[in-house]
Amino acid sequence: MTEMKVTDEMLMAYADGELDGAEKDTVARLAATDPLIAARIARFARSRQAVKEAFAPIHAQPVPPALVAAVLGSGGEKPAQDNRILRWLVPVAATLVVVAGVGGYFAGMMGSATGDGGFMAAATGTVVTDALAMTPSGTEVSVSSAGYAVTASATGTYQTDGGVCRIYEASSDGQFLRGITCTGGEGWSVPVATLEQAGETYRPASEAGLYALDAFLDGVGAGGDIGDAAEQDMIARGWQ
Amino acid sequence: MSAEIRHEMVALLPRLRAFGRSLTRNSADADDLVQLTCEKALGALSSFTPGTRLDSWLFRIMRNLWIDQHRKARSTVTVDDAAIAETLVGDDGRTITEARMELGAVGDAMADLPEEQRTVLMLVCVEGMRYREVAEMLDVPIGTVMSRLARARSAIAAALEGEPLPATVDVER
Repeated sequence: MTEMKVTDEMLMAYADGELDGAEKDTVARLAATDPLIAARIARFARSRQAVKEAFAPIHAQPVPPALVAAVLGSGGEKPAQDNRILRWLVPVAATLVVVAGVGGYFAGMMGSATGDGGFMAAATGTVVTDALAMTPSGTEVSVSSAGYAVTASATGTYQTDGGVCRIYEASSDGQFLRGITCTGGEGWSVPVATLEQAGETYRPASEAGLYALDAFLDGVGAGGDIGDAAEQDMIARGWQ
Repeated sequence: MSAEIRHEMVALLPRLRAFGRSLTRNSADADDLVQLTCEKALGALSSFTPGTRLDSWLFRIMRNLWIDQHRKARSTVTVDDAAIAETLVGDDGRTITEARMELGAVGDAMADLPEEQRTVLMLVCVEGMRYREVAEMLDVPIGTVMSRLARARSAIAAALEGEPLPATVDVER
């Protein structure tokens, strides 16, 4: 085996962790003794890393509200009028940025990618969602999250097809965010959030943006607010 | 069931946008493609097999849509890809080479690759899919995946090596 000709494809497969058994041993042995082989493997590892890093900023970009609405808002399962019931008023002058992401990946990536990502990551982090999980709607909590002093409060709690979701608001030093935080019983995620940017950067919010958060709740089959007593009960039981 | 899938699709949107971007090379077209993909997927939920990978299913739908669109576009435009990328101006006034600016030297090098190579590059390097999974998704032999991927990776590596490093003195003159 050691005398076999190693192809680019084999070296690439080795760099990608796709070889096993005799082939993997062969390449490993060759790499240990032949610097040119080792350099070719490293080149494949570098190209993989470079491509991954090039697309990381796109992964971290806010998703346009129209896209979120396209996924959540056009459902055929619920009566059409449900999609147009806003559960709260969104100021018309606000600029909405809807972000969709998953857990730590989202929180970890936002900071470096967008100007307001730092606040958004802080206001959707587990420090905030965990504090809210212990707090009834309408009561403010103040926590330190990712370097921001964040004040947050839930404004409503809804039973959905996949667990419980709560609308919440968070602010820090003039920055303001509305989000939806959901749990299926183990930990909380923030699948959707809207950021309101203050200052001179106001742009008219798109209609899709206005409805995106509400459409999300419709999309996951949310009914009306479960009420204070039921919410208190769920807090006491750790949302199980 | 449908609500859960919608929820999962929202979580996948950033990855769908990146994949769309690798296909279309500009963000506006990419988002149009992502939206079309989601609409098509939601209209065909019954053909999704529960327990299989939703992401692979969506990527496949997106790629097929793009290939269809591209085929139509090519029947009316006779310039080659590179010329289109250099000359066309998007609806919003920004040039299509925006993709290159945003994705840097990698995006520049990728724009010159054929679609088959860009797709395997994305699925393996960005999505972290195994060669076998990519082969199944694209319905091609694993050897084909590997040869496309090796060519793409060599092209990317060559492009990066040819790029002058920022903030260092060029000693090769």
